[in-house]
Amino acid sequence: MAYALHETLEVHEIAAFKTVCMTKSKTMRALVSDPALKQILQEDVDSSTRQLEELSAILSKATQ
Amino acid sequence: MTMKQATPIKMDDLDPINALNMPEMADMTFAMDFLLRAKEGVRNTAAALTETASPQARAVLRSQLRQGVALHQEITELMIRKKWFHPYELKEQYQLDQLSANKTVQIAQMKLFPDDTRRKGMFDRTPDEHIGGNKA
Repeated sequence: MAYALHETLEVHEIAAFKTVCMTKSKTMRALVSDPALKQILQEDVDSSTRQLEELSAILSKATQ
Repeated sequence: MTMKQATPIKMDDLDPINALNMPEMADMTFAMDFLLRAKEGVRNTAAALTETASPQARAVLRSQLRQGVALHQEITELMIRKKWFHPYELKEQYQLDQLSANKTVQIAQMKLFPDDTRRKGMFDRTPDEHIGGNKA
């Protein structure tokens, strides 16, 4: 099923934001010394990767 | 006998005294940055959700919104536990904010890179040359 243009743009925006956040979490993880904070950052990297895959699935369907 | 130094040792910004409590301060700053990003993510996703009509896109965004809210809660609880964030004691939060603001101003005034570290002129091309970026 095709998506409306405004939906595609919203998803695109969320995906761009999530990409930046994921990169930042990954970088910050190396600089943080507290183990609990490190753990949450790692969880964020993992879940963001999954969420980006979902978003990119929508985007690739939308551009078909 | 007292020893007197003719010229006192000059401190530069790389002196270890400037790094006192720095790992804890840095962790607090990273956590605050992380919290702000989680908060912004929740707001962005919620706004996107209200612009979406297709059931599949809504389902994806709704589940991501839930995960975002959970992440925000996790970071908030950690920060309260670590005493990096005092939502109920405004006085303490104010003092903490003052401390980090002053420290930030100090860091901004430091001359951390005294030498010229530019790499401009060392490469014979720019990454956007093929689209004419070097002439823009």
